[in-house]
Amino acid sequence: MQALICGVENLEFAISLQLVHKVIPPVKLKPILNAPISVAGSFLYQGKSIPVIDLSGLLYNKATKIKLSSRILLYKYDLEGNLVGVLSQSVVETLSFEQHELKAEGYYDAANRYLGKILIRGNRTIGYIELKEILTPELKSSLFTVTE
Amino acid sequence: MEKLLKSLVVLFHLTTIRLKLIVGASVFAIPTAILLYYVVSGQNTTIEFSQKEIYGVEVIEKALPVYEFTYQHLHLQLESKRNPAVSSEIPNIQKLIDRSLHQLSMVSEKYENELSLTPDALKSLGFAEFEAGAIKAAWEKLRLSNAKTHEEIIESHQHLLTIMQGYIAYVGDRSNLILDPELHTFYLMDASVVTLPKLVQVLHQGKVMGDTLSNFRINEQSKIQFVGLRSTLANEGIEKLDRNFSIVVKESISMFGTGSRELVDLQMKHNNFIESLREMNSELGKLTETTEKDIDGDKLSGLTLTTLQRINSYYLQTLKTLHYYVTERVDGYKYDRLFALTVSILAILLAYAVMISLATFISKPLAKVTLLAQEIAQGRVDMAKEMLETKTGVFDYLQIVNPETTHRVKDESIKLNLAISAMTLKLEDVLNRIQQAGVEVTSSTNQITSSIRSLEITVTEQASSTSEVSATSLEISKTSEQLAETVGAVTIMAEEASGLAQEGLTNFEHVNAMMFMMSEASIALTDKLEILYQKTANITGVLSTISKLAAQTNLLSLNAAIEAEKAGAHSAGFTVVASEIRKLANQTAVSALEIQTMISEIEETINDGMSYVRNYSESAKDSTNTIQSFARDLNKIIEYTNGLVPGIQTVDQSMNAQVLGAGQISTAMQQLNEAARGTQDSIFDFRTVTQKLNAAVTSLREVLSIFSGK
Repeated sequence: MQALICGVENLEFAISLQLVHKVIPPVKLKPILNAPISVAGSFLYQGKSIPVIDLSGLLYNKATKIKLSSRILLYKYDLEGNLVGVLSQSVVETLSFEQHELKAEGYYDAANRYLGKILIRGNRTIGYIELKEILTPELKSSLFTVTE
Repeated sequence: MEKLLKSLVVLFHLTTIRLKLIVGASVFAIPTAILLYYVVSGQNTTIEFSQKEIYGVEVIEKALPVYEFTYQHLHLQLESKRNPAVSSEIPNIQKLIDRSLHQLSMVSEKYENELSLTPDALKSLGFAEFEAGAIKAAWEKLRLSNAKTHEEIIESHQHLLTIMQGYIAYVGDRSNLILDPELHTFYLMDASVVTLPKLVQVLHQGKVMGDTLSNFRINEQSKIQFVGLRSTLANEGIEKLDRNFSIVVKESISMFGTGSRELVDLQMKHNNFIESLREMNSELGKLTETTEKDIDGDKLSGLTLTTLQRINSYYLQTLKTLHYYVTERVDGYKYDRLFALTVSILAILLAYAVMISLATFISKPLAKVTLLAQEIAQGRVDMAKEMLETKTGVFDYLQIVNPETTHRVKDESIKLNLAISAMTLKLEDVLNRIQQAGVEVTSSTNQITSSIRSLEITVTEQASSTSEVSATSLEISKTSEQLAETVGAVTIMAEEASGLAQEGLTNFEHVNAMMFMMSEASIALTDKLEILYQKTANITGVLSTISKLAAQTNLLSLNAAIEAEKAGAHSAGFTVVASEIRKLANQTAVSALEIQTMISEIEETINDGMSYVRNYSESAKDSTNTIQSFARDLNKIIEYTNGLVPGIQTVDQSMNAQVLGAGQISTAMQQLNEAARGTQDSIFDFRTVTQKLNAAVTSLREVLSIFSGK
């Protein structure tokens, strides 16, 4: 399996390619007022407004610094093909891994189930983000109240 | 009734054929046994019948002396009238009568039930006088009678004689003697019960007459008596007795061959008796025809006495012979009965033995076949075959294979056995083959089905992915071309920068050489440096473009990787290509970053240089060291710029390779797309066929699974 390597601050996170619909450059986002810091804003894509999650905001409570290597990952979160964007600070490489290589990190947060697993490559420790869990129930409700 | 029938049917179901056949044989034996019983009881009746005759003869044998001695008693009493010396013999005769009566009562008591001689039976039949006590009483009365005259004496004896005559007739009736079924014994009986007692009576009367004649003279009345006596003797004695006796002899000889000893004795006694009768009759004839008044009765009396002696002996011999023949007959009947019983029982036993062996012959093969059929019905064909191989029944298993013996068999159960055995073997063989084939086909179809499914999914995904990949590749191709162009421009610019640096260096050398002469030239230098600064600024702009392009390429390669991931294992090659592109893009970005760093350093150096030049311009005199250091700086610039060119050339080459690769990918993807569509169609058809095949094999295996074991 292939995974994208997302650099956030000094850490690396892997996101499986299987659920990523597309990777697009960091387009200019329309800020959503009163939204939490984990929501970067929204943009129009193929005639639809797509909400974007800020990975740095989600993980560090700190807005992402947009760089040339920053990307927005598009993720189909439901069967109807509705998309949600994930803004990551730096996405430039991929990584091959097998499911059994995923190890438990040692701490599991039931409220944030997208975290908790790691991949080890030499002396690199890469956090594994479960994309399908990234929409926590409260985030989901707030995002879709916004989009609809 | 219905319930009884049902339970009977259930009972039929619960018993084996062998048992049924044996029960059937037993049922068949019941009427035979009943028939045998009646035959035997019929024979018993016959034996009893004849036995009664023997009893009768024995009783008559004992009754006869009483009768005879009574007559002798009469004769003695009559004689004692003429000759008193004779009267001394009377007590002897009385003793004989007592003894005879005693013997008679013994024997009559012995057979009183068989011959109805019990007092009750006699009373109810109206023959109370034949009771032993009554006879004895009659005799006591006779003994005590005080008869004086000739007539009184005859009268006193008459009662007992009548009783004894009746007694003999009664016993004859009761003992079935007169119903005797065979001629010789019938006539012997007739003689002993009817003719001989009568003759004895007549002869005694004749003796009485003869005795009378010796005392009285003959008259007309006596003559009439003689005529009657003569005719009786002639009819009853000579004619009838002789005729009957000849029949007895003929019958006996025809039945037993040569006559028995008893018969020979009897014949002799008969002839003697008949001779005496004839003599007596001729004497009687003379007496009736004589005209003399005074006749001698002694001759008649003597003849009568002789005849009486002979008749007694004859009578006893007749009874003896009768006893002998009846006993013989009873023995014959008993022998017949024993023979019939033995033969019948042996026949029944033989029939049983035959029936049981037949039942065994029928049921044994049937039982074997039933076991086989049960095994087959349960689906254990291999068990049935094992039974055939291990157990040997009426026919050995190996003989089934040999057609020489089987076609001669007529027994249906053995034929069935043979057929089922052959069928089992064939069935087992066929099942084995089908099962093997079924297992092979099933595994094949399963493999095919799973392959098709995975192939189908892959092809479907491939088809959708390849089109996107194709589009992506085209984009990459375009982008790469743009990048190549840009890189070309960069190369030119870098070369230009290098040339300018060289020029600058030459100028510095001029400056160095002609320090003083170039105070004005420093202004021009400043201008040149400014141009250089601007050019480097341009390079920075180009580098930023390169960085952006590299970032975009990286992005495209990431998306390509996503599509490749969706396409699955078949696009592994493409993943590698995308990865390679990404690496190139990353290298480009890194190179751009390096160039950026270098350019920054160049800019700093130029700024430094410019400040130096300004200082130089401002200062009247610049130190040579400063210029030298500047020249060194400039050398560095040249080095850096020269180092930049190969990097840019590498980028250029990479870009060209990218363009080429992307074009190839695009073409390959189009071909792949077409091929995938074709494959998809054929896979669909193939899957339909495989599903049908699988369904057929599944049903076949279900059928086969009924026959377990394999």
